[in-house]
Amino acid sequence: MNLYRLGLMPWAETQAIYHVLAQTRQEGLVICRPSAPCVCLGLHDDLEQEVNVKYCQDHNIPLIRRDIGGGMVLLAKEQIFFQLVLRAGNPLLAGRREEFFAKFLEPAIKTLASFHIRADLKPPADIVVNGKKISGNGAGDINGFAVYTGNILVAFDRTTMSNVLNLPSPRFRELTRLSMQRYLTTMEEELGYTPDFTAIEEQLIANFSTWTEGLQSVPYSEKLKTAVKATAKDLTSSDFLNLPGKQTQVRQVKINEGTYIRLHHLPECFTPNVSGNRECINQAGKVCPGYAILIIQGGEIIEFESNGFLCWANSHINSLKDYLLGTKWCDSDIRSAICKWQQSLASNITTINEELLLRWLLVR
Amino acid sequence: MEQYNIPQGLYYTHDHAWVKVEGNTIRIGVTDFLQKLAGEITFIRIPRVGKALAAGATLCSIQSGKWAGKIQVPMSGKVLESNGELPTNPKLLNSDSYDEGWVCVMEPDDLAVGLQNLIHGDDADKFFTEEHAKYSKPE
Repeated sequence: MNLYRLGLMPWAETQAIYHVLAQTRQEGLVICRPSAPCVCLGLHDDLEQEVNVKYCQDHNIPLIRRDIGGGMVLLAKEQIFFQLVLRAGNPLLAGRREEFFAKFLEPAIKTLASFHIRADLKPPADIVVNGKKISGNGAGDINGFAVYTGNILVAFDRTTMSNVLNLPSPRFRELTRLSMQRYLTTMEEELGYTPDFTAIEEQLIANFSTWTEGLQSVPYSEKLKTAVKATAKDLTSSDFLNLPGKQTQVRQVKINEGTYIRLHHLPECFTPNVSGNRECINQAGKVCPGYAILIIQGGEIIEFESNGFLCWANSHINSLKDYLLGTKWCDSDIRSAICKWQQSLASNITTINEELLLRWLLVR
Repeated sequence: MEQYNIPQGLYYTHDHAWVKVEGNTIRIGVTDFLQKLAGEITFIRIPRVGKALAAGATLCSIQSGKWAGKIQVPMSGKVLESNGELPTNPKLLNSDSYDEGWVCVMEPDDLAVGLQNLIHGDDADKFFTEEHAKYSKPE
C-alpha cells in the first residue's frame, strides 16, 4: 500500500487528498498536518446551524466540507492526521462500517502508549485518556472506496474551537469551552511538554505497517497535487459548503463520545396568564427566556444550569439541580427527581406543572 | 439468504439500492443488507424533487454514527417524489427499508436500458451471497 507522508501542507489539501485517492481508486495511507487552521464540516453538518461564519470570516479561518462523516471540527497544525483509503473488498473491512474503527485507531493508541500515554478505545470511534478525548475521527464511502480519517491532538485551542461554533449565548459558549477543558486532552497536556511531531509520525507509520500490507513511501507527485488542488476547490465551494444538513430541535454540541452539552429553551411559560394562555406575559407574547443548559454524559445528567425565569421568581428552580445530577436522562428517572424536588419544597411553592418540566428537560 | 431480506421481483444496484418498477416510474430505496452494514442510520439527505439526475451521480447520502455513505442514481431521470418522512425519521431506513423507508420515485429517461444495468433474479441472490462473504467477519 502507498504511504503518503506529507508533513505540513496547505489546509485544504489535507482533506482533498483522501478524496482524490478514493476517486482515483487507489488505496493508501496519508500522514499529514495542515499548515494553517480551518473549520472542517462533516458531510451532513448544517453550516448555518454549526458554524459561526462571521467569526471565521473576521479571523480568516477558512471553511471546508469533507465528503465523509463525523462532526464539525477545528483543524490546526498541532494535530497529526492519519487517513486510510481502502477498496470496498479489502478483507480488513469485514463487519459493520463502524466496527473497523477499532482496528483503524489501534496504531494511534499504540503510538500514544509509546509516549507513555495510556489511551483506550471508547467505542465506536473515540480514543480517550482517563475518559478525555484525544483524537477526532470520521469515515465514509467515496466512489466505492472506504475512507477512515483520524487525528491525534498534540495541542488544541479550545477557545478558538468554542468561538467557531455557532452557539446561542455567551454562557453556552463558555460552558462548551469548559466542557472541552474537562473532557478533551492533548499529548502536550498529558506529557507536560510538546512532543516531536516527526517522532509521533514515525511511530504511527510503524504501528500501521504491522497490519497494512507492504506499506511503501511514495512521493506527492505533480499529477496527484494537481488533482488534489482541483478537489480542494470543490470541497470549499459555496454550493458544497451550503448543502442542507442535519438540523436539530435543540442546540447540542458533542464534546466526546457520549458527552453532550445542550440548550433547552422553556417550551412555554410556567405561569399561565388570566386567559390560561401560556405565552410569557413578561415577554409580550414572545417565547419565554427561561432556559436550561444540560450536560449529558453516558445517558446521565452531569451538569444542570437554569436561568431567565421572569414569570416564576420564587420557583427555586436552581435547587432542582441537586435532584437532577446523576439522574438518567429518561422519563421515569427525571419524573422521580422532580417528585423528590417538589416534596423538598413542600409549602414553599404552590403549583408546579410537572408535565411541562418533563417536556422541557427531555426535549430531543 | 437467511441473514437478509431480499424481496424477489426487485432490481438491485452494486451500492445496495433497490429499484421497484411501477409502470413508467421507479421507486428506489436502500437494501436490508446496507442498513445492517451501516447500523443505526441517524440522517439521510434526500434528493430534491424535480431535479434531473445522471446515472452514477449521488442520489442520497446517509449517516450512521461517524460513517457517511452514498447511494448513486441507478439510471438517469427526473426525481418525481422524495420521502419527506425520512429526514425527521431516518430510523425507517432500518426498520422498514423496503416499504415506509423508500427514498424517492424517479421517472427514468429510458427505463428498459436502465434496467439492463441492474441486478435481478438469480443474479441478485448470487450478488448478495458474494457481498455477505466480503463483509462477514471471519470465524
